[in-house]
Amino acid sequence: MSRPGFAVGVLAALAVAAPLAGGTLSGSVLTKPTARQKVPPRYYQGPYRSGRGPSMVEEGGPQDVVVFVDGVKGPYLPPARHPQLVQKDERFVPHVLAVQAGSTVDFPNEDDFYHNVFSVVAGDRFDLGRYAKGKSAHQTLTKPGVVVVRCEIHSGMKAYILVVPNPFFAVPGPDGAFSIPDLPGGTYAVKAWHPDFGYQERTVTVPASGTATVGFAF
Amino acid sequence: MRLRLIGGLVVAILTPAGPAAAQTAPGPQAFFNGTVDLAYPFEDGGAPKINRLIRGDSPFDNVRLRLFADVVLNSRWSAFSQILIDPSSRLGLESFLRSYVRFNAFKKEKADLSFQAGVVPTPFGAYSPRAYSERNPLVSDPLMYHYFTSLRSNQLPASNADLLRHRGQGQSDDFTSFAGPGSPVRFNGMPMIYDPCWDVGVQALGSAGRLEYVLAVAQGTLSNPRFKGGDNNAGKQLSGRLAFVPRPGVVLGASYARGPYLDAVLQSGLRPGTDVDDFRQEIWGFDAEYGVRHLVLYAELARNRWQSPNITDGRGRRQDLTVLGGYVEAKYTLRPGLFAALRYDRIDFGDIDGAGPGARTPWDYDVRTWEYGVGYYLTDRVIAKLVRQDYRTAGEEGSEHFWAMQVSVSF
Repeated sequence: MSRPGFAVGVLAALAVAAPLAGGTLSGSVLTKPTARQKVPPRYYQGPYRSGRGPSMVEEGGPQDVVVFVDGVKGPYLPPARHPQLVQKDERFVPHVLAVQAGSTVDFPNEDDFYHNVFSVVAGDRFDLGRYAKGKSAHQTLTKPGVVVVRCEIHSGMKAYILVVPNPFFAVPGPDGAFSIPDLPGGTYAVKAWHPDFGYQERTVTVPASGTATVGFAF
Repeated sequence: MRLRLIGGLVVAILTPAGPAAAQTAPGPQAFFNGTVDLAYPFEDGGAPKINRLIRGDSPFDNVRLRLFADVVLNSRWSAFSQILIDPSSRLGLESFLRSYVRFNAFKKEKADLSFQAGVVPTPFGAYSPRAYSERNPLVSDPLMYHYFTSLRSNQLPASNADLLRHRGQGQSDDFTSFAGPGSPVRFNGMPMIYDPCWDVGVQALGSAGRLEYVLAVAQGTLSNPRFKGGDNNAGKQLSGRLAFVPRPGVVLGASYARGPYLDAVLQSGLRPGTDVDDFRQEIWGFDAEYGVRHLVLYAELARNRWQSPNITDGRGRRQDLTVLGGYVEAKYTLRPGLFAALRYDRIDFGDIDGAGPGARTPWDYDVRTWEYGVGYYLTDRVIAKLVRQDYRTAGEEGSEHFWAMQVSVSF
C-alpha cells in the first residue's frame, strides 16, 4: 500500500471507530392499519396506461410515519446524494418520503407506461411533465412542510414528502422501531407525522452521549 | 362431479388473483369520495341548449355533486357506484345512478382479462374516463357524446320531408312531434353516443401484449342506453373497442357498435313483416392519444348510421341516416398547476333526398364548437377553470359564444 493510501485507510478506520459526538434518540411507532391508496381506479385503462400490476389496496403501517427533531441549531447542508421517489406498479415508492430541506429528489419511472409528477402545494409547486420508463426527473425542495405528490395520468397515485429542517429524522422500519443518531445533547420538540393523522409532539431531553427514547401511537 | 366443479369455481372466484394477493389488504375495503362542481356561465339564462343533457341538466349548471362508493372485496372482486345530484335536473336521482361489479379472471405478465356487469361504462371511444370535471380540462362534453339530433327512438318521421321539417329540434321542449307513428311523449332526440348515461350490460375487457380490448353486450344502444334497466326492444347491442399502444404515450383505438335502437312501441306502426329490431344503429369510431412532457393531444372520429323505416331515396329504397362526428383536443401545462386547453368539435349530417327531384339536404343542422380556456389547481383537490365556448349551427346565421367559470372540488 502506498503512503497516501495508508493514511486514507487509517482515517477511514478512525471515522468508523469513533462516532460523531452526540446522543441517540430511539423509540417506536404504533399505527392503526390504513388503506394507502384512497381512490381505486374505476376505469380499466390497459397495461400501457395503467399496468397489470397488483391492484388497488395496500395497507399502510409504521413506515408511513416520519419522526423528526425540531429546533436543532444548524446550519446543516443537504445531502449530496439525491433521495428517490420511484414510480413503480402505478405507485410512488415509498408512499412517504422524508428529506432535508434543500434536497433534490429524483423521480425515476420504472413502469412500462408514462407517468407525470406534480405538486400544487403553495410554495413548492412543480410539474415535471410526462416521461417514459427509464427516465427520471428531479425537483429541489426547499421549504419545510408537506409536499403532496401526484401523477396527472393516474389519479390513484399519491405520495407524501415531508421536508424537514435538518438531518435529524427517521422513517421507522416495518416493526415501528427507529433511531436518530448523532444528535447534539439538549431538550427538543420531537415530532411524528402521519399523512392521515397529522402531527404528534413530545418533548425529549437527549443526553450528550447515550440514548433517549420516545414512543408514538397513531 | 358437478357439485365439485361448482365448488371449485366458487373457490377460484373467491381466491385472490395470483401475485396480487400478497400486496393487497386482507379484508374488504370501502372508499367514499366525490366531487362538487360549481359553475357560472356569463350568459343570461345559463349556458346555451347545445350543452343540455337528457335530464335537463348541463355541465354548466351552477351546482353538481357526484358521489362515489367503491368497494374492493379482494384482488378479484370490486364494485363501483356513483350518483350525480344536480338540482337543475327534472328527473329523479335513480336516473343518475351508475353501478357495476368487476371480476378479474386473470392477470399475467403479458395478458389480463376482467369482466364487468351492471350499469357499465361506455364501451366505445376514449372519452368516457375523461368525462369527469377533474379529468376534463374543459367543461362541456364533445358533441358526438351528447348532442341531440332530431331523430327519436319513440317516434318515426313519416317521410323525408317530415324529418327535414324538424331539423334543429333535438331538445324535447323544441320538438313539435313527427307526423309518423309513435308515442306522444316528447323525448330528446338521440345523440350518436350518450355517455352521461351508461347502459345495462356485460363487458369483457383486458389486454394482450400491446393490444387492449373491450367487448360488450348491452340492453340498449349507444344512442339510446337503457340506464334504468328494462329494455326498449328485444335486441341487444354488441360493441367493442380494440386499441394498440405502439409506445408509451401513444394510443390508437378503433371502436364498433351495432344494435336495434327503436322502441317496441313503434312496432304497430311498421309495415307487416318488419320488426323494430330490424332497424339498427351502427357506428364506427377511431380515437388517438398522444402525450409528451407537458402536452397531451386527443382526437376522435366516428361515423354513425341509423336505419329508419320511412326515409327513402328518390327510387323509394330505404336510405340510412348518417352522421359524422369528431373532435381534436389539446391540453398544455403552462406552469405548475396552470394549464391551457382547446377543443375543436363538429358534427356533420349526411344528405337525404329532399323536397325536389335531385335535391339532397343534410337531415339535421351541422354544428361546430370551439371551446378553449385555462385551468388552475388551487390545491391538488380544487381546480378552477375559465372557458369560452363558440358555437355555430347551420340552422342559425352567425356564431354565438359565452364564457363560463367552473370550480371543481374533489373530496
